[in-house]
Amino acid sequence: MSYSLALGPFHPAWLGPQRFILRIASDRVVDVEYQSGFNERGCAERLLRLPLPDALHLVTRICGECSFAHSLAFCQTLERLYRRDVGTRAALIRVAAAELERASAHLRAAGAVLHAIGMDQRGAHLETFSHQCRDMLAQITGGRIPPPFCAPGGLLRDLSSGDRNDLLASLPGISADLYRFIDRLIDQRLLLARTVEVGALPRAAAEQFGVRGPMARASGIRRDVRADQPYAAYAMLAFQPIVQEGGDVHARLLVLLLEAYESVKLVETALQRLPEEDPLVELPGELPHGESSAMVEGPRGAIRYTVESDGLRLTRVEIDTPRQCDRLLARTLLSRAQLDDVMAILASIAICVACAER
Amino acid sequence: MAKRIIRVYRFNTGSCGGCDLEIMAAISDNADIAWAATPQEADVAVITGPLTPGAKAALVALMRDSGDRAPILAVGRCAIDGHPFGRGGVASTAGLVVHSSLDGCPPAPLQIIEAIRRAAGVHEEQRDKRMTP
Ligand code: SF4
Repeated sequence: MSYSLALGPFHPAWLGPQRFILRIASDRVVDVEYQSGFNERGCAERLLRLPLPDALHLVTRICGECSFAHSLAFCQTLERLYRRDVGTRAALIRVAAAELERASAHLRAAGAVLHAIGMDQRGAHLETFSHQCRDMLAQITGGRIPPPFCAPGGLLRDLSSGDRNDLLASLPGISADLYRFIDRLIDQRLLLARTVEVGALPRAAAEQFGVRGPMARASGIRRDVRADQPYAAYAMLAFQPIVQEGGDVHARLLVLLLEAYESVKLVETALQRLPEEDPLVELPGELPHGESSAMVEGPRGAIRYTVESDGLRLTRVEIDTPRQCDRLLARTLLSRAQLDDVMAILASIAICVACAER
Repeated sequence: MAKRIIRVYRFNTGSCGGCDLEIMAAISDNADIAWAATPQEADVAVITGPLTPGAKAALVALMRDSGDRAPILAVGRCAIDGHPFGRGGVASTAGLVVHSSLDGCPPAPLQIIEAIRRAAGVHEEQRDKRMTP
């Protein structure tokens, strides 16, 4: 006997709306329909019409969870157009903000995977870590979902020495707790049984689908903009990408957790090395004529902005974000999956429709 | 007396996810508020996002199916008037009755919790009034 099961479009565990229609036979998924696109907002077109301060605000709200990553990519693109350099202090604070945002997003996603397999207590623990990172992000940027903080050439707000000392005092405790948490979690029998060889995306398929970020690295693809084309202050920080070979839910969970741990470490190193200098900048006036493009490693993978200017205003803005989900990918991940594993598989790819439907 | 649990159903209608994250944070920190699995079970329906045309249809259909039982709370500036996306929000959506709203981009988790409790409380009062002749 077979039947259909519809998930979504609204679901408490998902940030945004999407719809899966699963064909189930003998408790296994035999076919998948996927529907998204409920939320097209036209942000790239709108950026063309906005004065710079409003554009800087809009890029922070294309995706709330990857807010700083978007504004960093946009600012780096404008820096190339304006030929503006960024000082070391601003670059290190940018790394700290970007890594806290990544850690918060990764820990929330990892927590959702644990909830989906019934490890609710540990899932809740990861949520707490995720909130802590977001609180620290607020200490640096002024908001848990950051307001405009990055500007072409530097920052709109400096980190006070009091806040810096505060952060440096709490970071070692958080990374030690996180390390202990990961160490106790990864070999748990229940976890292994529910995640190993579940929802596998083999490397070849991952390449073919063009997936990016932690999802690609969990399928053995060693690609990370922070290492491949270092920006901000990553070149100073001896960064190494984290890669796993399994391609399954376990590998994705591990990449999320290890990267979050590494992010917290990067924040600590970045803040330790802050030189005394003024990172604040005035917004630039006239736009130079030309075209430019820049890329950052966002929480879910590479984000590239490309802009073109006619000397008066932007005439083109392109935002290239990680592929999230579509029918083919959903089919590859879910077909033959046990019904009980569906939510864990979906949680492990941390789909976010905000970016895709900007 | 055990406190009643307030069940919340959240409709993301094109938000950046920022308000959704803060609602998630608020709910995971407060034992008296939990998710509703379906809109029918909700005590409060929360709307985030600027009500994009694509989401509006799905929302209206779901609200109709659930018998418009729960009061609607709009969370976040973009749900109110579409800012910073330039258009949308409940302000420009005819035929949708929103009972209360909470400004902020995003509002803080504590404010969200208060607004949810207030929405549920007002709703309960009204229902009790209707039931006592
Ligand atoms: S109000 Fe602001 S933070 Fe909330 S969903 Fe809208 S754009 Fe995002």
